[in-house]
Amino acid sequence: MWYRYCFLFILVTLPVVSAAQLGNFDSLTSGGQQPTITLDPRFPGPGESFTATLQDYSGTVFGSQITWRYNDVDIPDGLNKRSIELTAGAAGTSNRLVAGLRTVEERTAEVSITINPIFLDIIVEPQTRVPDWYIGRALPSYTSQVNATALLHDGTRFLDQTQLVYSWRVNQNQIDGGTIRGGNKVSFATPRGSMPTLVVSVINLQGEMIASRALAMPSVLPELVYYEKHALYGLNQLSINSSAALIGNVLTLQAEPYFLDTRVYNQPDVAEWEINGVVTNNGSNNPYEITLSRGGASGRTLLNFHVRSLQEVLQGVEDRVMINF
Amino acid sequence: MKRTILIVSGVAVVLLLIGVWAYILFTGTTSETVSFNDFGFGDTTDPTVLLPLIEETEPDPVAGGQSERLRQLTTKPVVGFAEILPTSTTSPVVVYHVEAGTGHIFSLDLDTREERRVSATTIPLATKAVLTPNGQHVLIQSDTGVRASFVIGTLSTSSDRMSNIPLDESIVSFAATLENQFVYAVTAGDTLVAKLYEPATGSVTTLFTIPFREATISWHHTAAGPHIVYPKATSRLEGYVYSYTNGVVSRLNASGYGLSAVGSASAIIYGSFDGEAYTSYSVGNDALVSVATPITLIPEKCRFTNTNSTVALCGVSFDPLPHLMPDPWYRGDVILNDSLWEYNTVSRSARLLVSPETATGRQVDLINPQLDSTDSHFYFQNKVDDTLWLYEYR
Repeated sequence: MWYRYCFLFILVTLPVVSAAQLGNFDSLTSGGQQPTITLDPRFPGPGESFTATLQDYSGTVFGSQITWRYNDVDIPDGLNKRSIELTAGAAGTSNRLVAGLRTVEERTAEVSITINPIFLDIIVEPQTRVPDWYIGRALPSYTSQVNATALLHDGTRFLDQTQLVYSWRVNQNQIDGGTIRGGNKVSFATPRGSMPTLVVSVINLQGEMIASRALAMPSVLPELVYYEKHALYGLNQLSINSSAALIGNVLTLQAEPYFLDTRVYNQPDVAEWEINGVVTNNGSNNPYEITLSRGGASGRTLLNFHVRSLQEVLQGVEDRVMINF
Repeated sequence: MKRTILIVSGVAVVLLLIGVWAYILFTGTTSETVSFNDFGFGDTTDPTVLLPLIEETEPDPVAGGQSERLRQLTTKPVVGFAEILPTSTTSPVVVYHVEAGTGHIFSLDLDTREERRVSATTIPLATKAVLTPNGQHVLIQSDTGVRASFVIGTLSTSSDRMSNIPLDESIVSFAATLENQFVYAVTAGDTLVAKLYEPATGSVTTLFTIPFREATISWHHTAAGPHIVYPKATSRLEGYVYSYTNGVVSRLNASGYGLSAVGSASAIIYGSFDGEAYTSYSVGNDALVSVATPITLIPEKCRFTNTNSTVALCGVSFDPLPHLMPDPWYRGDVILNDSLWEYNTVSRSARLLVSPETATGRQVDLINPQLDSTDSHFYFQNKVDDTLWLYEYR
């Protein structure tokens, strides 16, 4: 008879023992919360270092042995560590990170996350003035227009923006009222502050966020730089620092208001030249150019140029240069 | 001692002294090469006497040779130049250069240094030009900005008149390839379109489209590429590097503030500003990790050689670079004093070729580096006066 009772005992207790040995998420949850892995940054770029952290708000991981495996390779240094530092793979690859848990009751389970590194580039194109020959990029100034483009590249091509949904924010203010399908290009006015933050998030048509980035965008004041202009060769691309010499009989100078809103540059409310404090007609159709002639005796004179919008007074700049003749 | 012996000895000494005096009097010196007091009694142990002779007979051959390889080719500013492929092995090596302002084209024989005007057709306010290596066609930009216009000229072998065809497009960047074609980029809405112009037939084909406008293109010497594209550099905004080969775009693993780049089929060199200092790196086109270069390279001053895609020739300045590089250099606020260096992206080693200041006494702020098809000659301009220079690399 006794073996019948043994058989019944084994039959009843076998599922319990099996569950304890094999484990699943349900066995490690408490209050409906499962352990998860979070990444910092949330969407690592290709080749970018990131920190993976095992999050457990239920306390069920307490006392568990933690092991890490990245792309099917064990990470010995990660033994019993809640956070590990790793490097994302190349663009277009799929990188699986697994955290293995073994509780004090010898129950085991796995938590995993898949990292799909992708390039998300934000290209900022401020619509402010720089000379045509200048090979650098313009910078935003207060109220000037900025065009921004988000480009996603998976290692082989740019992703089709029409199959993605974009969300843009500047200083927490949503651009264009909300998310826009295919909206990888936006325009906005530069807000107040020296370093507004531009954030873009990209969501696929299934509603999953696939990439997100933020960048600090500078907002600068316009700067005035003088250049000498030659009748034959055009503009000398070396700037005049604080003084210029009138060697011959005539000297033509051009004032370049770097980072002035292009709308103000094209139609300035104020654009005036002063010689020794006296407003002077520059005698040219180009308001940013003046030609000086030697009057006779040698000496020095102070040349000043001022350009400004009267609607947005911060859209303006004034500076002077000493002319030796 | 007897008095006789003493007198004889004294007379003998006197006669000996008279003999020495007479020898010196009639021969001048004891030999042609040694000094007055050297009587040939054996080598001196004083090395300071010998060193000047060694210096006189064995000058440093390396320093002298490197200096002779560097030449200033023009005294007038130029806006474009190209070494013309010789038609035969005995043909002289000539360089065509386009004069700033007038657009006149001159031929310069590198051996005889004879200069000849091959085009007297005036292109007013010529600001940039490129020539095909066969010397038959030129693309010239006149004026800048909204007033800019572009013409494609065909040089004549029988006269100094050039036949011009206007290229009525809003071109923002252009170059010539070793295949005697022109590549250029035009604005199209909020994008740039790169095109290929075949001057022999006048046909135009689209190469690729760049999905933004404020782009700098570092053109490859072939139409196929790789052409390196990046947003125009500024130290205050982030940049990224794209490579277009046969119309296919790759995103290279390089990004940073103030980023500019130059590349080849194997690697790129890029510089960036990390908030404190300007640093340069090299990275293989398929690599994930960049490596800092042992000397700071400014990509606009570098050119990869045509025959070895891992070697670049660069102008390198050891003056302290200004804060917020590269903006002050672009704006013309600073002038750099460059030496010529060779950098190998594989061995990560750099080699000094020549210092123009040491060799010629002139400071050179190197721009527009170019090589001929065989990498024999490295051409560049001095930003200070836009003159054309040559370094005989091989």
